[in-house]
Amino acid sequence: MTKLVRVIDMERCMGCRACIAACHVENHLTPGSPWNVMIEHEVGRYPYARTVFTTMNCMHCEDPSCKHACDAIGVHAITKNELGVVLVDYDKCIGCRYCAAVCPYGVPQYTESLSELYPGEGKTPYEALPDSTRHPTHRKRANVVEKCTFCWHKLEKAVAAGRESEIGRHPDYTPSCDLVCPVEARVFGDLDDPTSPVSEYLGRKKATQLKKEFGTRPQVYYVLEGGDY
Amino acid sequence: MTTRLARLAFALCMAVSAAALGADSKPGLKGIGDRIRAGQAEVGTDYSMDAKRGRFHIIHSKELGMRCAACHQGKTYVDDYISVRREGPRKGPGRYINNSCTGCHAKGGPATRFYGTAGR
Repeated sequence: MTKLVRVIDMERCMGCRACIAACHVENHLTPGSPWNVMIEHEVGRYPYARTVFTTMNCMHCEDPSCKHACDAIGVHAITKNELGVVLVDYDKCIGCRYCAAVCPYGVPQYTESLSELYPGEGKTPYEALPDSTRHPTHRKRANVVEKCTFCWHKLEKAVAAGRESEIGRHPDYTPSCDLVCPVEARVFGDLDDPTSPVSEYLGRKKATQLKKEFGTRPQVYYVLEGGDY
Repeated sequence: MTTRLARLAFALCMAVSAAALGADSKPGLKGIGDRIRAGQAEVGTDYSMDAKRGRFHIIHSKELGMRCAACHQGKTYVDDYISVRREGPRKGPGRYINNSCTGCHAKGGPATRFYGTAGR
C-alpha cells in the first residue's frame, strides 16, 4: 500500500511563501480560490511577541468529510484514489458548497466567476492556455469547487511509469510546493515505505495532525513548536 | 450513612432525569433526520447554500429550528487560525465553526455522518 503524506515543519518554516508561489504557478491559480495559503499570526506579548507561520493546503484526509457530504447528496464529484489523494471532478461538481461547509480546514474553494490575474489588463499568455493543453485538474471554471490535488498531475506520471517509489524523491513526481522550500520545512512521500524521507522525518521529529477532534485523519502532519496538542 | 444515602438518592434522580431528557431529545433529532432522508420533509431540492431556498439552511434553520448564531460567529471571522478560508471574502452572516456540526454529524450521531471520532 502507498500512503502519501506531507510533513510541514513549523519549527523551520520562516514564512517566505515560496510554496504558495510554486503552487500558484504550477496549478494555474484561480484568483480568489487559492489551493495553498500562508496564515500568520502573532503569539506572545511585547517584548516577547513573535509571528507563527502556518502553511495550509488540502489535508487529503483518510476519512474525508467533503467526500461524505458529496456522496450523501448523490453527486459523487469527490473521490479518494488509490494513492489516497482526494480529488474533485469539475464535470460532476454542481457547486453546492456542501464540501466547503463541512471541511474543518476550510479547504474547498468555490469559484463564483473566473477573473483575470491582472483585472482589466486581459489574460496573460499563461491564463490563455486552452483547456486541451491543461491537465483536467487545471481546467478551471466558474461555479465549481476546487482545491489542492497533491499535484496529482505529477503523481499520476509516477503511477503511469510504475515509479511510485520515487514519489517524494524525484522532482518530476513530487508536489511543487515541497520542492521549492528553501529551508526544507516540507517533506512528502510514502509513509508506508520505512525508507522514504517522510517516514524518516516522522521518525526523528514529533509531528501531529491539525484538528484531530474531527476524526477525519488528515494526511498532512505538522511539526508544531511545543509538540502535540 | 445519611449523607451517603442522600448522595445516592441525588445521583439516582439525576440519572433518571438525564435518561428522560435523552429519551425525549434523541429520537426527535433522529426522527427529523430520518424524515429528511426518506424525502418526507418539505426541504426542497435546491442543493445550495442559499439561505432561503437551499436545503442546507432549510434543514438546519427551519426543520431543526437552529438560530443563525448557533453556527455563525457574527460579521467577522472567529479566531480560527487554521482554516484556508480565513483570509477569504467576508460575506453573509460570518464564518461558522465546524465544531457545532460534530454534535450531530460525527460517527454515531443522529445526522448524516461527515466526521469520525477523535483519536490519536
